Formats: sequence, structure tokens, C-alpha cells
Amino acid sequence: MALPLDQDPEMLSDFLVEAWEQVEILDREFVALEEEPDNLERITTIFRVMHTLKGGAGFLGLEMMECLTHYAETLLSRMREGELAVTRDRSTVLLHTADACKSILQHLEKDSNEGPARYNDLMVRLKREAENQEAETARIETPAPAPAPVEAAASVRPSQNGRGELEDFQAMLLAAMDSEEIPGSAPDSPPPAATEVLAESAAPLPAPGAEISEDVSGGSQTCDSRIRVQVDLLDKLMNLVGELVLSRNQILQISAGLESSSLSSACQRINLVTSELQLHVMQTRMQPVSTLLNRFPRIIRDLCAQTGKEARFTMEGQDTGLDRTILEAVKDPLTHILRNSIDHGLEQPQVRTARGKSARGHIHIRAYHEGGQVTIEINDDGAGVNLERVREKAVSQGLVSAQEAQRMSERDALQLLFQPGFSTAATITNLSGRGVGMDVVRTSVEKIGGSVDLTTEPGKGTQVKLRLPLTLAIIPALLVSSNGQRYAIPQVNLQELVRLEGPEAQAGIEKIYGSEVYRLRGQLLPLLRLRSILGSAPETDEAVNIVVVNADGARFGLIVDGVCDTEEIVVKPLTRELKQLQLYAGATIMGDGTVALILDVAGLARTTKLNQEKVKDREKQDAASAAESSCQSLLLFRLSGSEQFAIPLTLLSRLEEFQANQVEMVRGEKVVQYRGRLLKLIDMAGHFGMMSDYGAETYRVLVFSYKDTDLGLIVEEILDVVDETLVMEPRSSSRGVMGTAVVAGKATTVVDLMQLVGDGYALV
Amino acid sequence: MSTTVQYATFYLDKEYLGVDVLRVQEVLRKQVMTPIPMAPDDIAGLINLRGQIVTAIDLRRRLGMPCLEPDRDSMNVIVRGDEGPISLLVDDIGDVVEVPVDSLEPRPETMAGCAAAFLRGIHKLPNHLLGVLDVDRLSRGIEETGREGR
Repeated sequence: MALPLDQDPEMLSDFLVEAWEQVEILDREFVALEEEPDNLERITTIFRVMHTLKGGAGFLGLEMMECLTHYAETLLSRMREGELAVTRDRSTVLLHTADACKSILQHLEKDSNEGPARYNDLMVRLKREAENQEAETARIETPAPAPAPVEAAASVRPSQNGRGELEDFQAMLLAAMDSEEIPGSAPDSPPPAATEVLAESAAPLPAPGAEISEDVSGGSQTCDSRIRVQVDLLDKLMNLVGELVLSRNQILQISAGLESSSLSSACQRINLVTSELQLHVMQTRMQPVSTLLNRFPRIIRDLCAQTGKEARFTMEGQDTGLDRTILEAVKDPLTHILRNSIDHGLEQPQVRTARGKSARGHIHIRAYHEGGQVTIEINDDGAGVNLERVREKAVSQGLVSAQEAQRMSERDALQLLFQPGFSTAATITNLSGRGVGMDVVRTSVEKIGGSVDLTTEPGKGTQVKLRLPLTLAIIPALLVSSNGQRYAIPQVNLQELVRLEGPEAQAGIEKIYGSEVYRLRGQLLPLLRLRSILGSAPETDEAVNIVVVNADGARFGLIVDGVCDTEEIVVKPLTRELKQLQLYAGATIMGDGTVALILDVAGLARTTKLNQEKVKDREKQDAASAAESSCQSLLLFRLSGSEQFAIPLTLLSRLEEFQANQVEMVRGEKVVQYRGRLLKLIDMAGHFGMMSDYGAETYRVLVFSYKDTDLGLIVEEILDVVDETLVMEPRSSSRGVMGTAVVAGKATTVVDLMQLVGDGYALV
Repeated sequence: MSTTVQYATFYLDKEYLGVDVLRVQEVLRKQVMTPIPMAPDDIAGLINLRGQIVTAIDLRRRLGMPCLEPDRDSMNVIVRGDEGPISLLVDDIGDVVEVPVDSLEPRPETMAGCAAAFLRGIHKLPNHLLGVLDVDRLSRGIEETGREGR
């Protein structure tokens, strides 16, 4: 018999572990059933167990076992329905079935096949018991009147609602009878052989047939090396180990203060043992990623069939272990990513060939450990994400404005994919395009403390990276302090720490529209103050500690009072009421026994999201406006009248004063002799349509360079030089004006010098 | 003879209140409390109960009473709520009293404030009235129960 299990010994051994357990249950339950034959619950249990066995056997292609259990199931279902009473005979027959299963299991263990035995008589007996209903009362006294075997064989079909497998079995059974026991007997002939079978089955307690005599009580080796444990128990163990870890931390702290060498060496040992214990208990909850990945070949095959695409699926690192709760939690996200890969990623075969790729796409899943986390990568060699289309879609769906979309970096544009409601699929297929997609993936992955990252190369493919914690219960975290309390920030959210001291502390943090930002290696990092989020008074510290964190794809700096240490912490859930705050992911007990709250970084970002988005928007606006740097030195001056004007100081070369008699006229324009050349003076007041009343003795002139020539601007009065963040109102319509802004508390016109001189004031 | 029920009783300001004794896990003196910034006012903080983290509810506030004077310490009545144990902060602990089940009377219709939402009923004891609190509602919090009560 060709068994698919030949290809997968893992699957077989899993099945064996389970099957042995089921058979044990059968033994137990049958015996109990004989004690109280009316207990329907027991029959139901037995029925369920039989059904499970049948399912497993069917899946692995164990035909003999499947037939046996199927027949037993039929009998049991009638017993359960109350159509047949529980008699000793029936339970005996069923027990023999269980024995037969055991013997098959033993064969499977030894040499991976069901063994040579055929259990024809047992099957016939099972079937006859199932058929036998009228003879109910009679059979208590005497062996049941044997129905004609033909009848028995023929009646299988109608009574079983035409279950295909049963017909198969019947054929097989008859064929088996044919070949081995009753040569020459046709299916419909009433041969003596059949009577013989019945005769045997009619015996009150038939001796087990030769087929099942093989050391049934022998137990199994599989049972010895593996046991099945309740997950609850593992959870409890895990909790206890968590407690132990905490107590260990506590003891280590105490012993460090006592300076007793014998105590500290004992502590050291406790430390080591605890760490190892923690590791192993964690391992008991670990399952290889393959338990999850093994589902995918089939899913991919089906998806390909639906889309008309072709894909090769390869895996790497299937043995990587992951906590079962986490495995469970990433099942759906992973499936979704795969769907995306096939539906959006891979091209149709002919397109692929045209692009010089192999017609068959390739999807590769790789799992590996990295920095205390497990990373699962899903790579495809498809078309990649079309960023232009992403931008267009985002604009048409109103997620961002057209300008924003254009200015977006590649990375930011990819983040759009994670926006709720976003979909690039042109049409909605049943695979994807409904707009519930990557945002759900991200949410569910982040819920378990992981992260999702997407990179793409047009024409080459896409990679989605899931970073997952090894386990949920114990996580490494950074402890920070704020307002005298300690808080834990999960390590997965942590990117780096920045400390600003001295003058840096004041100058380093810049404000933009009331939101604080810090320039981290040239990039603006939005800042949040933990104190203000948690509603405490602002601190007055000289140094600033910024914890750079990442959550929900957004990076921001969290300003905390102090950074303490990293520690392994045991996550304890909070009550619903506190979860609703969205600020805390849980709580933990510190080495000294006090409780510390674990910050929910994604939640912090969400609760302050409005602010952040504002920062982003403004940032972009400002970047677009001519005033590029957020803060610059401005020269403030006045023409005639009280209106205040400003020019970026960097554009100016010098400030000069000329006596009125120095100013000469050349072709209607004012010039002065300046450093041996003629300096043309521009009458700004005149340009802006104001009275140019320079009756004064002195001309104040701003000298600047334009195309290798010096030019001078005549102003009435120089007011001040200030450092200010230019926040420009929309461009004014008049030429030579960059815009208006509030500078030094006054509405100010910012002069666009280059435009001004470009407007015909140039000498050359 | 009618069946009786036992209540663990405690004092809150001038009120004499009780909860089903079977729901009470233990009673503790003042515990080190970790405050929870931004949490509702009536949540006093978290305490470490032998490795288990327990939310402490400031019962005075939850029932809409004035706070305890700062120089007085509260007692913790640890009760089993539907999400695990919670601690109720009370002024003082009273006796366990046993009363017939059927002597529970509904709270007066005219009763106002948050307290009404958490009160299952009132027993008339010889000397005073005993308000019986609903542990489940207390543990579920003011947001859910408070609304239906008002």
C-alpha cells in the first residue's frame, strides 16, 4: 500500500501520538460503558473518538483502519441514536475494533505500514451488529439469527446514505474475502464461507482472531517519548517561571547589596538555573514554524489555480520555533500576505515570459532567529509594488492630497499600503481588493508585539518581513522613569536612545506649530513628552533623554525623565477598564516587588496622532515653501510708513549709509560711487507704490550681490535682526514679495529679493 | 428555616456596606500602590498581590463619595471579579454578618448618584442598614454600569 506518510514521517508520528491516545480512551470508555450501558455520553465520546481516528486514518491513507473505524462508527451512531441497545456483544466487537486499531498502529510504528492482517470477519461482525435491530430482544438469550450474508452485503448501500467510502470498503471487503479467505466466492453468492464468518461472530465472546492477537497490550514507543500536555498547564508553568524570574531579579538585587561571597555564588547558581528553566519552559510552548507553513503549499496551489498563475513555493528555516499563541496569531496575517503575493505580486505567466522571467513565479518563505526575535520573510519575484499606482489610488481614495502624494518618499508611499481601506487592486477579486488588507495584517501582528515591514523593487519582487517576539509572556524591555514612576517600553518598539546635555538640551529641540521636533541625523523626529501624555507637570531637567521608538510604522521620540535599564519582564494583563486607556500594554512586577506599567507605544502614538499628523503636514508645507530651513535670521526694516519688511540676512552682503549728496543720478536712476564702482540703488518704496520721501540727510542701503554686481536697496530704517521660524502665509500677488509672516510679533512682508531685481532693476 | 447569606462588611464614610463573603478572597492592610496616570479617578492604582497584579478601586470615588482624608490609610478588600481579583479600598473592616436571603430589600427608588448602580439592595439590621454591593458591577467599572444606573 503506497502511503503518503512515507513522505512525511513527522505527520505519521504526530498521528501515532494522537491515535494511541484515542485508542486508550476507547479502552477506558468501553469498559466504563459496560458498567453503565445507558450512559449516552459515553457512547458519544466513543463515537467522537472513532470519528477522529477515522479522519486521521483517511488523511494518511490507512485504508484498513479507515474501514474498521468507519464500520464501528456506523454501529456507534445507531447506538447513540438509541436504535440499538448497548450489549456486551456489541461492546466486545467494538473493543476488538480498538484492538485491531492498536495492532495496526504497532505495525505503523514498526515498519510504516498497516501490516498484513485483514480484519474481514471483524468488519462483517461490526456491520451485522449495525444491521441487526429486529433481533434485539432475541439475541440476549441466543445468538442472533444470522441474516443471510448476501442481504448483509447488499444492504450496506441503501442504509448508509450512499457514502462513497463505504461502497469502496464493501468492494474492498469483498475483494479481500475473495482473495484470501473465500476464494471463488462471488459478491452475491451465499457461500458457506460467509456462514462460517457469521457463525464465528455469533459466538457470545469470540476469541480474538489471529489478526489481532499480536501483543496488543504491548503499548507503544511513541507514547514513551512524547506526552500530550494540557496547554493550560504549560501556561501555568510559564507563569510560575515568570514569578521565579522576578524573584530571582529581586534576590540578585539584594545579594548585590550584601557583599557576601557565599550568598552571591548561590545567587549566581539560582540565576543560571532560572535562566535555563525559563528557556526550557519556553521551549515546551514552542512549535516549529512548519506547523504553520505546511498549510501553505496547498493554499498557494489553490490560489494559483484561481488566478491562472503559476508559482513555486519554497521554505527555509521551518524548524524555527515560535510560541504557539504567536503562531496562532500570525496564521491569518501570513495567509493574507501570501494571497497578496499571488494576486498582486506575481504576474501572469505570459507577462512573466515577456519580461524575461521564468513563467513560474517563485514564493519563498524564510524564518529565522534574529536578535531575540523571530523573523518571517515572505519573498516573491513578482512585479513589485507600483508606487505610482499606490500614490494615485491613495489620492483618489482621499487618503492624501495630490501634492502630499508627490512629495512622499518611497518609504512613506509604501506605508500607504497599510492604511485602512487602501487597495490597489483594480477590480475586487475574491482573493483581495476589498480594502481590508494590510492594515489588518499590521494590527494583528502588532497586537502580539511584532512588526511588519514591506520593501519592494519594481519588476523584481516584494518582500514582507514579519518580526515576531519569541514568546508573549516574557519580553525584554527598557525601563524608563517619568515623574518618579518607572515604565517599561518593549524592546521591539525601541530603536535608539538619544541624550541631549547642556546647551544642546535647549537648542536641540525645536518647535514647529507647538509640536516639538528633533533633528536626528538630518531627519525630523517628532517628539512626545511622556510627562505630558501621562498628565504630569513638565520637568525642569538640564538633560533631555529621548527614547526613539517605532510603532504603527511611525517613528517618534519619547522624552522621559530618565533611562534606567533593560530587563526581562513578565507581562501581566490589565483589566478591561485600563486597557481602554490605550496607553498601557500591561503591567509587570519589578525586582523590588513594585508594579510598573508597560507602555503601549502604538497606543501612545495613536492617542497623540492628531498632533503628529499636524507636524507632518506642516513639515511638508514648509519644505515646499521657499523658506526651507525652519529657522533663519531675518533683517527687519521699514520703508516709509510703519509697515515691517524682512529679508533673509544671508542674502545681504553689507549694510551701508550714504550721505544724500553722495547719491548721483544716471539715466534717471540713483547711483552712488561705492568701492570704486557704481552701486545702483533700488527704490523699494517706489516699487511697492509707497511715497518715497528720502528728504533725509542719510540713505540707509542694504547691499547685496546679484549676478556679480552689487545692488543697493534703499530703506527708511533698519529695525532689527531676528532669528525666527518663518511661517509663511500664502504667496501674495505682488511681485517681489515672498509672502507675509508674523515676525517679532508683527505682520511682516518678506521680500523676494531675486524676483524684485529680476523685475527690471538689473543693471545688466 | 430560611437560608441565610453571609456578608463581609466594611465602612465607607458613614455608610455600612457589604459584599457576599464568598467573593472575598482576603483583606489586607495598606499596600504599596502604583498609580496609573490618566486612568479614571476611581482607580487608585495597581498592587502586587504575591506576584499577581491587582487593580485597586477607590470605592469612595466609585460610589461618588468624598475622598478619605489623606492621613488615613485604606484597607484592601480583595474580591474575585469576573476578570480576576480586584481590590476595593475601604475605610474600615466590619464583621461578617449573616442574614436571611429573603430579607434583602430593593434600594430606594429615590436614591441618586453612582452608588445606586452598584447597590444590589439593602438589609435592615437591628441597629443600622447594610447596603449590599454587586461585585460584578463594581469590577466592570463605572463606564458600563454607571450609565444604565443613571
